[in-house]
Amino acid sequence: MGSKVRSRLSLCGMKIGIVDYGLGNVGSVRAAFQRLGVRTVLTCAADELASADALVLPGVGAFPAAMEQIKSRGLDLVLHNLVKKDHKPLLGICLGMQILADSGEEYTECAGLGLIPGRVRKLEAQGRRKIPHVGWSGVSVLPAGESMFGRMALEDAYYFDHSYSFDAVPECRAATVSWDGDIVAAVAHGKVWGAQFHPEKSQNSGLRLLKAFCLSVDKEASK
Amino acid sequence: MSSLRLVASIVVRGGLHVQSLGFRRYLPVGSPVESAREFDRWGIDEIALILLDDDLEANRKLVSEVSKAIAVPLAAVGGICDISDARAYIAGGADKLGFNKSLVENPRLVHEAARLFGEQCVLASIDLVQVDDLAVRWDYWRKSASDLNAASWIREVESIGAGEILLNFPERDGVGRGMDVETIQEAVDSTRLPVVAVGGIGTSAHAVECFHAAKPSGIGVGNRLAHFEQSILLFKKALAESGAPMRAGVKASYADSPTDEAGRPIKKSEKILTDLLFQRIEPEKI
Repeated sequence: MGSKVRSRLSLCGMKIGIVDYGLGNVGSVRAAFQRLGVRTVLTCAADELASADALVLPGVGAFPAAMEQIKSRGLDLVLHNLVKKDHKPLLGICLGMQILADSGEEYTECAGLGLIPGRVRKLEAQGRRKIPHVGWSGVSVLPAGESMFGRMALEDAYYFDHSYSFDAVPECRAATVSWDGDIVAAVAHGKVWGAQFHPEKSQNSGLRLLKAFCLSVDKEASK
Repeated sequence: MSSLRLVASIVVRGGLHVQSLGFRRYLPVGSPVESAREFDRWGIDEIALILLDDDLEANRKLVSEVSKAIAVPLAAVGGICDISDARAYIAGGADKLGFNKSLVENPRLVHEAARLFGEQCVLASIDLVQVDDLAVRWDYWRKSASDLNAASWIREVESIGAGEILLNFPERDGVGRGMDVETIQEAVDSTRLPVVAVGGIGTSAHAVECFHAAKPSGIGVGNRLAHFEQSILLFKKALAESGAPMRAGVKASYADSPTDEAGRPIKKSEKILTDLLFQRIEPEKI
């Protein structure tokens, strides 16, 4: 069996748990995985999340509002257990990536999930850069992002839209994007990945990244 | 640096994608979902759905259908009267909420949306017209110009909590004779927010002129995309050749095609056509 067929088959049997906390733009995330032929389940129930092969933490919103929703559903503990104890792969998208941090400062100082060391701060431009940082950009991949961006094509660009950025510790930075200097575009720490941009809104460039995520899960499972 | 965004503006009235003329007359184009799907396939960078209908349920359903059909960011503009409408759009798959009337009549709603969904999610849709050589806010509902000048209005919109500005020019809407480059430039220079300008594009040369004079973050095209075959590729080709940073988006391109004055592709030279026979085109891998 060719490797192509095998990867298609393994994606078919896979189930991605999309963490539902009432704020994320989950429709597009589901649609993107559907294009890859991967099943998704949208839920905030601990047992359903535990039965998924991997988790996606989507996000549109403000940091404190998101953490409030997460805590009110008890998801902070659930995610901690699934990621830290069960070593379940997790991909945070945009705000879902930012709340992986230790803390954030959007509107008020607020603690995050603490899954990737670092803090989220407001973007500040020296020059005439516009804030929010919105638009399509290519990224520079760092060593920590090798598997995350393993399928990236040369001309790939991703859609960014954010006014806060995640200052992760250097060893967890997976990619940077050039803005007013380089800012963090993606983070990776073990099986926890995060993308500041929206892979689900970045056409085929984004699908390649989501596929890399699914395939990394598969590799883990077959070990 | 981010590339210049080419934004497709899809005006929806009576559930149909319509061609809008001066914010007054509307001609049917077809299904908004199909238009969005095609624009996405041809590598558009963003889609703005301008919802003129009052029926929230129908709007919400449309946002969700369009969102499922595309893989680029979607701004849903219009028809948001309270925070539950905003939630409904976001749940349906909108990435940005566009406010126009609420900026004037219910700024607290806009502020609340920014607090809940982040300011990057809030798009202020501003209509400007020229009165005695001065750009002023145009009131869509009263169909009249106000006495508030553009610069003050933009400052106010910033303070309400918007994260991006969509500039519309009702007088140029559907005319196709070029954009109000001077006003766009003043707006871009006067705000820290990204600006997307819409209204007046008839040919790709208008977009090129606007980009180089005003440097907006995005340029919106409405009617031209629907009525001009291969328009997205041709707009991107013209902008890229003029030096604007563009995202390719799709593999197809007119980079090696000559075009006529109207920006339409003309027949390639025999040499290029012969060379094409020997070119291997790899299918795109996900």
